[in-house]
Order: sequence, then C-alpha cells, then structure tokens
Amino acid sequence: MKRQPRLRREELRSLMLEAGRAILFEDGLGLSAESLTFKKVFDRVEAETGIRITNASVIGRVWSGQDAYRVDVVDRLATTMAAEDGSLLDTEYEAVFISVAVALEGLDLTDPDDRAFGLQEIARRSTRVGSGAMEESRWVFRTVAWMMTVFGVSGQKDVDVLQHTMGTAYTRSLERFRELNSTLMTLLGLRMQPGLSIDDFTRAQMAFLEGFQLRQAIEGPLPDVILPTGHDGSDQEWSMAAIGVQALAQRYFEVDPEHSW
Amino acid sequence: MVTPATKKTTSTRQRRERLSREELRELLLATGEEILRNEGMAAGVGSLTFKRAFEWIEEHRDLRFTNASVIGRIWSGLDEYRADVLALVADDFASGEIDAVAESLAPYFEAVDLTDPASRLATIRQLCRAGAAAALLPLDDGDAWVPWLGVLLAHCFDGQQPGMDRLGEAIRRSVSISNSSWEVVYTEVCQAVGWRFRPPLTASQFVRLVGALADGFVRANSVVEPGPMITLATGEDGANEEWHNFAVAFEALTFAFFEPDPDWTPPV
Repeated sequence: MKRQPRLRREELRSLMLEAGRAILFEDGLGLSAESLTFKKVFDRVEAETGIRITNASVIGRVWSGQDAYRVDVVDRLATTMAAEDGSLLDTEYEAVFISVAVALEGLDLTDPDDRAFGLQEIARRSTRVGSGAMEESRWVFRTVAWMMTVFGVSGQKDVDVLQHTMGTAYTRSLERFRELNSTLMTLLGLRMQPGLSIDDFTRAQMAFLEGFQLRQAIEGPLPDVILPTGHDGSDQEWSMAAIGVQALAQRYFEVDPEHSW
Repeated sequence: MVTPATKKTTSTRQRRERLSREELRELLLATGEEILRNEGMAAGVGSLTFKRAFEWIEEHRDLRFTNASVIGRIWSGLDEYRADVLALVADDFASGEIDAVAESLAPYFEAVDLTDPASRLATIRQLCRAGAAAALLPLDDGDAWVPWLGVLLAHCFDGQQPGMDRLGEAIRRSVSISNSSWEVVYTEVCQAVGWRFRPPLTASQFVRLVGALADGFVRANSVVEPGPMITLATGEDGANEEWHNFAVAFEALTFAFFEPDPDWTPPV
C-alpha cells in the first residue's frame, strides 16, 4: 500500500481551507457555511489528492472543531474576495480612463458648455465600460454572496471580525471610486452642488451600480434607449445604467464657471 | 406522521392530532418563513433545517414531527424545502413597503397649490424626500432584507439545485408584481401634480432604476456605516431640511425621468 505523505500542520490547514472554499462555491454560497462538514471536506481532499484525513488529524491539532474550521474557511473566502474586488477595480480603472479619454476627444475644456457635455459623455461611455466589467466578473454577486456566507455562520463571535473585513473591502472600493471622481472633477472643472459632497455622490453611484447589476441578473437586461443628446441634438445610444449615473452626476455636480487650469 | 409533544400532559395535548399533507406543508412553510424573518441577520438562509423547523413548531404549536413526516412525503429533501420557503419569502417581499410610502406622502398633497408651477416643483421634491425615506425604512430592516438577499443569492448561485426553478419563478413573479404596483404609484403621483414621463423614457425603466438604487443602498448600509444626513435648503423660504442620500439620488432619477406636463390643467 502506498505510504501516505506526512503533512505539516500548516500544509494540512491550507489543504482543508482550499477544499472548503471550493465546496462552498460549488454547493452555493447562498445556502451558507453550515453545509460544510469535515466529512465532505475529507472526501473531497481524498478524491482530489489521494490524501486521507480523519477527524483525529485536525481536531485539536488545527481547529478546535467543525465550527472553528467553518469560520476559518469563511475568513479565507472573505480575504480572497476583498483582494479580488481590489484587482477588479484596477481593471475597471484602466478601462474607464480609456473611455474618458475618448469621451473628451475634440472638446474645448475651457468652454463651460463643452465641459458639461464632457461630463455627460463620460457618464454615457464610461458607465457602459465600467458596468460591463462588473457584469463580466459577477463582482456584486460574489460580494453579496460572501456577505450571506458570513451571516450563515450563525452564533459565532468571529462574525464580527468577518463583518469588519467586508466593511473594509467596501470602504476601499468607495475610496477608489472617490479618487476617480475627484480626478474627473478636476479634469472637467466641476464643483459640488451646494450641500452635497463627493462622498455623497460616490456612495450613491456605487449603490446604484451594484443594485443595477443585481436587478439585471434577476430581471434580465434592459434595452438601450436613443436620446437626442448629441452635440447638435443628434441621437445617441444610452444604456439605462448610464442614464442613472448621468442623472446622479447632474444632481450632485455642476460646472464651475470660474474654474481655471 | 404527527405526534403530540410529550412534554405536555393534558389529555387534549396528548391526543394524536392529524394534519393533512397540505396542512403540514403549509405549517412547515409558514414556520420556515417565520424562522428566517425572526432570526434576521445572524441566522442566514443556511440556518433553516428540518430540525430547526420541527423544534419551532413543537415550541409554538405543541406538535411534533420527524424527518419521516416530510421527507419523501412533501419534499424530497432539505434543499427542496428551503427553496419553497425562499419562494414564499420572495412572494411576500415588499408588500408592506408601498403602503408605508403612500401613507407618508398624503400630507404633501394637501399643501400643494396646483396652479403654481413652483409649488408643484416643491411638492415633487418633498415627495422625493419623504417618499424615499419611507421606502428605505422597511428595506433597511435586516429582518426584511436579509431573507430576500438570501433568496436572490440562492437563485443566482444554486439554479441547478432541486426546487430552484420554482424559486426563480417566484422571484420573477414577486419582482414583477412589485414593479407593476410601483409603476402605478409613480405615474399617479406625478400626474396628480401635473408632471409626466420625459419621452421616450417609461415608468418600467424608472421603477427598475429606483429599485436598483434602493437595493444598492440597503446592501451598502449592511456593510458600512451610512453617510451622514445631508442638509439642503429645500424647505419653505429656503429653510434647511434633512435629506437621506438615497432621497437625493432618488430625486436625481425623478428629474431625469419626469418633466412638467405642458398640456396639464389643474383640476377645478
């Protein structure tokens, strides 16, 4: 009989955590971490690697019990997703900046009318690019699923720690969106409407885009509409997400007529 | 099989109570929904097990069930049961929301001077402020929202699991009923103050965007502290008023979709 490789404690932990994460994804995150049992994980590890693990290998050695293991898996999941959110934003950033450059092509940014038009074009083009990237990555689902999984670990004091991780990831996304919006404000010579802040806008924008993705998955895509918003009243194609973002931009920002570069 | 709980000693309680298959199904579904709603944020959809439902029924109804009472008789297993409960939650979602909003708006209609465009505009803004706050309140309640979130997720991630096709159907039906009701509310409210949809935009598009905004705000509020209330000089004679950021965003969508109706005449 083939001799079983001896795993160090840390290797065993890593193997079990990865198997647990994979099971949670496959079984459906919405149904929570409770479906994650040691037996299921042992079976999976054996099927994939040929390594046999028993309760005696892990209980007391790596985790105090199954609940502690579940929390560890969800924590790993949370950390991975937080990191993935960050990397998604990097990709979005690049795509959005390219679309901004296209939107502003040929505009005279010393002219307030052109700057107002530039804001509209950025909303129209960049929202399509940004929400396309979000849709492809199923970012919002992963994030919300992760949240549900965390809540699924009921009765655990560690839930607080996991919620903190989620909050940190969301805050980081907000900060990056805020940075992007600030850059655009400077570029276009915009100022906030009285009483409103860049933080208010960014929160509204992010909430809208995430909610839009969620609704889109449930209700299906909404067709684009044609609006006479071109420079000379010509027709332009608008996604519904872009209409929403443009509405928000108009309410929160205004062109600063005194802005100078 | 239904057996009375042994803890209770009166003869009535000891008497064997028989429920029909349908009654048992209804009882377990209602119990499942109750568990999800009552245990709120901490519970998660995964906390719903047959064992948990049986304990709940024994505690509240003094009836005892076993897996044998339901598995193979009513549901093939736990997954199918969960899917049916989630479908029920989806069906019930948001039913109270529209009533709460309608109630909060009534006083603003009493104050409007329909002959004055500025008064009509001010009324629209107040309707946005008050209506959005009223709409967000029940959604912000974790007990109401988290099961719904679970429903959405279970649908998105578990489409292949038993019973999930029924769940998907229930979600679409629930969203569609809710959307239709909101379309009527928004259209009638705006018509009442002489506003109309900007062509070619429609009520169903507006409802979809507002729904997205509300979902996004609720999701954000469940992971980070909401931003502070916003003070805007929107009151009478420019007096300051408190706005929720959601209300400001809702107003933004309203102005993008609606405009004063040039053909409208105030009712005599």
